[in-house]
Amino acid sequence: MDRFLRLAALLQEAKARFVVIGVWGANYYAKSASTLFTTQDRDLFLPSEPGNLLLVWQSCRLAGLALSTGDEPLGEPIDDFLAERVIEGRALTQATDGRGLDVDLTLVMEGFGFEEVWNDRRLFRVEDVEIPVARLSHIVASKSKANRPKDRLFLETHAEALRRLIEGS
Amino acid sequence: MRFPDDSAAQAPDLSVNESGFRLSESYLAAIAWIENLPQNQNGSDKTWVEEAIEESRLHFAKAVRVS
Repeated sequence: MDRFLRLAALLQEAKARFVVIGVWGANYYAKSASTLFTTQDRDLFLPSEPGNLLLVWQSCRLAGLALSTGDEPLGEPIDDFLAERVIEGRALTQATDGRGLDVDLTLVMEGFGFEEVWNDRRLFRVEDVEIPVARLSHIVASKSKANRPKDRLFLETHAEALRRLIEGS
Repeated sequence: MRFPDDSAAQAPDLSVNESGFRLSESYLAAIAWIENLPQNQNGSDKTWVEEAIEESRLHFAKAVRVS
């Protein structure tokens, strides 16, 4: 099984809540391989709930991923106390297998709260694993609000891809 | 499936101002169209997306500098 799928399956099994956002999320709405965007990172949006964050961390460990925050390995032990501190700081946790699977576990999606994104998510299927993905409209609206150079680049490229798609429809 | 509104189909554009992007009406209409396509409803099989991205990753992982 694909490494990300294994993680997604473990997250589902643990009943952890997460939504795929960012460029990877947008890729699920692509119409063909030629309109996929290249990105290394997969962004998972999580609720600010210590118990859920702990489930996600544990699933990452089971999937063989190393956890870090900032440039440092995540502290030990991974428990409710640590999860609460990370949530207080709205800190990003990163999970990686060191071989190309890099997952950002974020508690923040610019312009949106978790429940709004969760309630409107799409449930796509990859092999036999359900993948919760944010609405495309939420992904692009968030990127427009974040307004970083990489967000502007994505939006400009995405608009061009949409224009070609519509012209060819 | 055709884009339903020919007027909105003309070049989705993005406008920039100091506070960030303003997503134009035509762009938002295009996004809504994409979201409503049959292949983007709950339960749709997106295995091909993961396969295509993995194929691309493996392809570029083999790249070597030749000069």
